[in-house]
Amino acid sequence: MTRDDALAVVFEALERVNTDLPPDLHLIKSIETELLGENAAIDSLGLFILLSAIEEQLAEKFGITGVLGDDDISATESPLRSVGTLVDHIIEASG
Amino acid sequence: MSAIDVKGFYTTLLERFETSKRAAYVYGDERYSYGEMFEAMTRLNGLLSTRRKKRVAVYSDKCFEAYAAIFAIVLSDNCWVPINPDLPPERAAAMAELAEIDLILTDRPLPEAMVALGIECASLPTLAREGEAVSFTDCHQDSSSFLADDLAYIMFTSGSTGTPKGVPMTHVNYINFIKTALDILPFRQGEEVFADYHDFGFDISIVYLFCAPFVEGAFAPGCTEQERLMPLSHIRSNGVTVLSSVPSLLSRIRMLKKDGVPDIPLQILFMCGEPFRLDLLDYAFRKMDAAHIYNFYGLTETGVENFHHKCTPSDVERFENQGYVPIGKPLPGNGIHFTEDDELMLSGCQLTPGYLGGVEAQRFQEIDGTRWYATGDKVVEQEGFYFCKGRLDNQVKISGYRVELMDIEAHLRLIEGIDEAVCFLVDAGGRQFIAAAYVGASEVSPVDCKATLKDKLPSYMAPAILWKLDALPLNKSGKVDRPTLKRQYETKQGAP
Repeated sequence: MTRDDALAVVFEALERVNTDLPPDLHLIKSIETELLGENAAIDSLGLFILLSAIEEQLAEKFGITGVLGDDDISATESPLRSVGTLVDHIIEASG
Repeated sequence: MSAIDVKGFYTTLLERFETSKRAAYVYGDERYSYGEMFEAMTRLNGLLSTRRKKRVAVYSDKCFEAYAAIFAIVLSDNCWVPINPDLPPERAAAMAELAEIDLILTDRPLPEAMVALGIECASLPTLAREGEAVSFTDCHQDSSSFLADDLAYIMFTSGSTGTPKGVPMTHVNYINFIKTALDILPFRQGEEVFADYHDFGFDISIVYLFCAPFVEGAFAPGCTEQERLMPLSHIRSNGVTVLSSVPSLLSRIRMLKKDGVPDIPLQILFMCGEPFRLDLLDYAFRKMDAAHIYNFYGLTETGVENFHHKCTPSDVERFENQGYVPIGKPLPGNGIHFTEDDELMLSGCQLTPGYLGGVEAQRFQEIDGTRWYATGDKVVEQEGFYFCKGRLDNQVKISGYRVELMDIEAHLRLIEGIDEAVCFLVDAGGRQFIAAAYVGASEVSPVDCKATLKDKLPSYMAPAILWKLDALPLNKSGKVDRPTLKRQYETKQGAP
């Protein structure tokens, strides 16, 4: 999987999550967008829904499963810190 | 004299722990029997038996020892006060101080704000493993134990002044509901596994805490945030059969599993704490294959639950005009009365003696010799079934927690740059978000706001949206016009 593929999957999932958020809380499609920690642009439930949307797309488009399944969404050193680190993690985990 | 046999209730509860051979606690590979929980309870009683009718806080994560502590406290004729260690330390300390705690059982070092209170503290895990075992027999044989109007537990709700309100519950207040629940709900003796996905300080926990031992069921706590947010794998792996939760949990499950989850072993779905939409009921019947579904309504101040409705698939069509599942009919022991504004008033043996410190005494009214509690909820009747139509005041429900918006506003006004603030809810994607409109000298970001509030308010009370205005809209009487404010926000957002 290329970086562009992974980025496209994450951005599409962000768009889907945004449809369920008030406009003021829409997530910016940028690798800088923080997903965990004090400056996170999303709450735990939103993050959970985002990850589920990504998993679904990875399975549908690339036949890849279980990339994000065991991550603890509350861990501060998690690969889920930002959109950028999440994309890196998907590329690495998908081999 | 009360018709509730309080002592008999506790004698049976104690017998269940002493004699049941079933599992009492399951979490993954961790399993503890009732016998093991009883042993931990007697060890905790080594310390607890030195006091009676004292207020004992459990300041701990969900764990086997925490359950043992709760039962040891009430069975030693003391009063249990749950304080969630995830709360901001200042708020936790305010609760401990207000409740006049005598002893804290904890699984961690206390934060400075609580240490400063100078309350005796003991290590919960150490005591449960190594404490000197003391039987509960003396306490149960003492005629002065378990008097009907002694306190069993104290919980807290959001208060309009920025300080939580303590709600004491006597033995009779909550036992009346538990006995009713055991009569109504089709529990299978020795076969149920009760999910526990909520803070012990949220009184939905009373349902499973006190029903489970009577039917020799096991507690299955969700110990991680992920398990509590989306518990499907937890339900499957722990064999959960009884799920007591808020309807927004069903909404989350449906969001991810639109095609349904027919392979989960749910027998009893106990919904409460929020309006239960008919589309979610339809999903629960058709896509979750839940055998028995109930909708309950109640308040912390009125002994957990006061109304109930046993749902049927035909409710979806029958109550379509209301959009929601009815809260049903009053449970035994509860009197109802309505004001001209359709505000529900409750009376009966489940009413709290009053808030700690005597605050908001006006909510309790004496009418023709009967004591009533003004719920603040608008309730209407159709075909003999009652429906809750929301609040008549500024309280809102967030994930089942009753939140006083003025509680948040009081804390917002303490933030530099905010002179005045008004909160309201924004609906999106089947969820609700707290928004705060404010006027002040400078821009305040939600991140800065959250950082400032994190030592003062639970995270679910921090506004997700901050909206700076030049002035807040006022109504004819000069008060902040909350409906107009919300409409202005929706217009700004382009909502219909």
